[in-house]
Order: sequence, then structure tokens, then C-alpha cells
Amino acid sequence: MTIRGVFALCLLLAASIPTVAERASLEVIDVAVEGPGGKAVTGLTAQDFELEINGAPRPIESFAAARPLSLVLLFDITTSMETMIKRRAISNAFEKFFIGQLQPEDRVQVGSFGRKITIGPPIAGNPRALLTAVQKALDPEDVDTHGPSPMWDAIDAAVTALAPTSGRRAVILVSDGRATANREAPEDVGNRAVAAGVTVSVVGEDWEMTIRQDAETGVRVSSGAGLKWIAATTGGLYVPERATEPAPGPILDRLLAELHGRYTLGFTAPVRDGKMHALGIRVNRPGLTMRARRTFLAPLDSSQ
Amino acid sequence: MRVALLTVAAIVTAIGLFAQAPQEGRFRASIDTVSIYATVNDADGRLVPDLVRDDFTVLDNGVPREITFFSSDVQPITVVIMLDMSGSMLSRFIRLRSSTQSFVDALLPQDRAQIGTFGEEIAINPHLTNDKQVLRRVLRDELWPMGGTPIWNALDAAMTSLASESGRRVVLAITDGVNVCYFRRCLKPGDVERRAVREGFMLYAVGMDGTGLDREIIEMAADTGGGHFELPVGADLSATFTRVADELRRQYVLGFSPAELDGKLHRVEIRMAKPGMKVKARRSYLAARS
Repeated sequence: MTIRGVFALCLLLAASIPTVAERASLEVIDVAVEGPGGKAVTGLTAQDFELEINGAPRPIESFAAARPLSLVLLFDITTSMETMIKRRAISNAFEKFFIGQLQPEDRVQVGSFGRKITIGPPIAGNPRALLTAVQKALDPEDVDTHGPSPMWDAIDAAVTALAPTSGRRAVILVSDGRATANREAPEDVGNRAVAAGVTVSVVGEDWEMTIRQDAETGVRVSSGAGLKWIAATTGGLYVPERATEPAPGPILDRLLAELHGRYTLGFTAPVRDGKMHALGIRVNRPGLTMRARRTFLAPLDSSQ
Repeated sequence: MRVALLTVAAIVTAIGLFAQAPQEGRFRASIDTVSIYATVNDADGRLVPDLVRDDFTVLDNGVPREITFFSSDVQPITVVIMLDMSGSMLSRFIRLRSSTQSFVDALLPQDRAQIGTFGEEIAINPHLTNDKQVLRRVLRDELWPMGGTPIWNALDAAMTSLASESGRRVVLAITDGVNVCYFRRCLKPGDVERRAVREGFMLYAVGMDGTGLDREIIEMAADTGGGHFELPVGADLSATFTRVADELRRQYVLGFSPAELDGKLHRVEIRMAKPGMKVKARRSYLAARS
């Protein structure tokens, strides 16, 4: 087949698969595909993906390569963060590497957590207002930031804030992972994020220590474990803090490019039982890696 | 004697007696009844059960008052457990967590506990609950070692978290040392103790591995009718938790009407009729104007 023939076939196949917007009743999943060096791979089509539910193949019924973002930037502002990422550095990084890369239709809410959890209103197409919101979140009026760190409750609040929004829903969390005083359990928060189709990506501290108790026993404490878990569970990207040195700017650039470069696949749930099901996605090109959540919540058909 | 010692515990509480006549075991709202929780030990330090009303005498500013309410029933526990997560506690991390876990596992259906930590930050989980699964989750996920020992800020935060509760409100702190506060605003012992006394909180403090509790903490525990335990190196913390729980469950409840609601702190003293008995109870109460 000639190159022109391949191009024509791609167009034909693409035309036969509706966009997500055309099939709002479908279940959707966002997939990140990266090539060597972690660079986002663009230009893929639906035919490059295979989808399985509980191990059984399912057809991809809709496909989109570009969707506006509905995003919550969520900052941990407690004392323990002061040794991780300096607030001024991260504020500057947002200005230089992040805000300018947003698409006009992207909408961003800025949130923070410490003694209280705050999720600001959506901001779209207003870089100055967004930068001000980021700076304000990083420099709270309440100077008493010596805990607690209700990270799971804050993620849950962000997921709730994103629930009514359209587009590609995501949270970018900046935290050291030392979560305390949470009303919600991590497992429940992860399940709700999956059910809402919200990806949680993390710039996190990869802090770990082994605490010796006596000559024979010790305990390993890892603040990164929960951060890695929520990113993996929701199909997000986890970037350890060490990779942010000397400045977090390139990391923010990568996170945003990764979210913008995602593909959205739509499929029909095989059952409507209101339960979690295993989701498997493969990209059938060599040398590529992909990232997506591994479960989805089937809708519940009340007639069943 | 320090002012703080004179202002020892007891407050006019919102729980009171069913009527003016002496009754057994029934509470209803009243603003003019003072409730005192008393722990009685024998000469060997063993808890003494099965005492009756006539075994006690209550003195209000030195004047005997009629005990209008008495209960020797097992008392439910409402407690905030504050765990010291400072750097010096690192070597005790597993022991502290597993002992607290044992305490949680031994809670009775009517007991409620809340778990908090202090170190680099102060964090108190919002769940005051009997749900052991929730409490286990907190112990599994929310203990982060490192930092100083901001114990007075921590005790104050614990009281705040219990402020809306009625009845006996207990703060149980487990620590290995003296106050070391790096916060922007560090509270003073006197302020925290005054609050505990005026608002009727009860403090138990456990000092781990013989490093010695702050003198002010020991005084605050005594003033509020609680207690303190100093554990030698390697001692069984679980046994101390059990001891605290036993004390709390076996406390006697004595109620009396103040002679005068004058808005002042009154000294209160409990005397035992039987010789050899030692009683612990708060040493003052606030006779708040209704």
C-alpha cells in the first residue's frame, strides 16, 4: 500500500470513530503515551490502541487526541514542605513554564491544604489571574502552618470540584506525602477519583528512612509510597522531588505536556453493575510506554 | 504554692443531676452541678472498686457539700491520644504504634478515641470514634516521625478538638521529653494548664524510657484529676495503656451543688472515710455564673 493509501485508510478509520463529544454516554479513559526519554508521543490513532475489560477485548468506540483540561493545582502548604520545594521557586516556575503553556480553553482551579482546605474558582484564559491565585495559595494569610496535612481529604475535595466539569479532568498535587488528620481513607479517595475519571499527577518528595528499633528490627517509613500509589491508581504521573532540582520548572512543563498530549478512549461498559472492573490498555507500537488507570467504575443500571 | 496549683481542676459542667435529692446513676442537663471524677487506690496502688457514696466526703472551699449524685458504674472513655513523633522518639516508633494499637483494640463499645501526633507538625485526626478500623487506619497512615516536641501546643490542640464534647474529656499524652517548640507561636505551660482547669479537661501523661516528664506536665495531670506514669527503659507501654484505661473506667462520679456561683475558682477536696485509701480528683472547679 502506498503512503497515500495508508493516509486515506487512516482518515477513513478515523472518520468511523466518533469523538468523545459525540458519544457522551460512553465511558472514557485518558491514556498517556511516551517514547524514549519520557517524551509524549503525538499523532497516534485509535488503531494504535487495544482495550480490555476484565481480560476480554472491548472495541474503542470513540477517540480524541486533544481535549481541554479541567485542572486543579493542589499545594501542600504545611511546615514540612519548607524543606522540599521553596515557595518562591515554584511560583516562578509556574510563571515561566506552566501558565504560558495552557490552552485557551483550559480551566484551572488553584487549591491548597494545611489547617484548612481551599479550592479556588475556575480560571480560564487569564494568565495574570492564575499567577496571582498560585502566589496567594503559596503564601497563605494563616501563618500558623504547623499542621495538619489532610492530603487525602484535599485530593477528595479536588475530585469533587472537578466532577461537574467537562474535558480532561486532572489534579496536579505538590506535596511531601506526609498526610495527617484525614477524614477520608486513601483507598476511598482513590476509588472516587477513578470513578470520576480524574487523573492525579504528583510532584512529590521521595523521602524514605529506616528507623532502627533494636539490634534486630527496624521500620521503613516512606512518604512517597502514598503519592506513587495515587498516581498509579488514577493513571497519573509521579515525579519525585529529586528530579525537580535545581528548579521545578521543567517538571511542570513536562506534567502539562503529558496532560495535553494524552489520548481519550471511549468504550461501552460490558456490564452496568456499579462495580470496579479491571481495565487493560495496550499501545501496539514498539518502543512506547503508556500510562492509564487500571480500573473503571461501571455505571449502575437501576433496572438491574 | 504556685497559682496553678491553687487553680486546680473542676468546673461547673453541663451535665448534672436528675433532681436535688440524692440519686444513683442518672444524669440530665443542669448548670449548677459540679461533677468530679475520682480514682481511688489502696495502699498498694490497686484500684478500689465497690465503694459507696458514704465512703466519700466532698469539700468546696473547705466546706462539706452533700453528694447529690453518685455513680460507681463503668465509665465510657472519651480520649484524645497525643503521640510524640519527635526525632528522639524514633527508636520507640514501633513500640508506640503497636501499644496504641493494643489500646484501640481493647476499647469497649461505648468508648471513643481520637488520635493525634506532635513533632514537626501537630495533627489530630478528626475522627473521635469507636470505629477500630478507622483508628487502625490512622495509626497505619498518619504517624510521621521527626521534629521537635511542642507538647504545650499539642495539649492545647487536643483540648480544642474535644471542646464540643460534654462529660469527662481526657487527653492522654505519650512523650519522651520536655517541651521543644520550633513553632512561630509557642504556648506557655501556665496558659495551657489554666485552660485545662477552667474548662474541666483531664490529663494523663506517660513519659517513656525514663527521660522524665516536664514538672509542669506532672502538675497539670495532678491538678486535672488525671495521672502520670514514668516508664523505665524498655518497659511495657501496653501495660500502661491498660492501666490508664482501667483507671478511667473505674472512676467514681460524684456530683454536688456549689454553695455559690460566684464566677471564681473554688478549691475542691475529696476525703475518704476508710483509712489507707488514696484518691485522685481535680482540685478545683470554676463556679461559673449561670
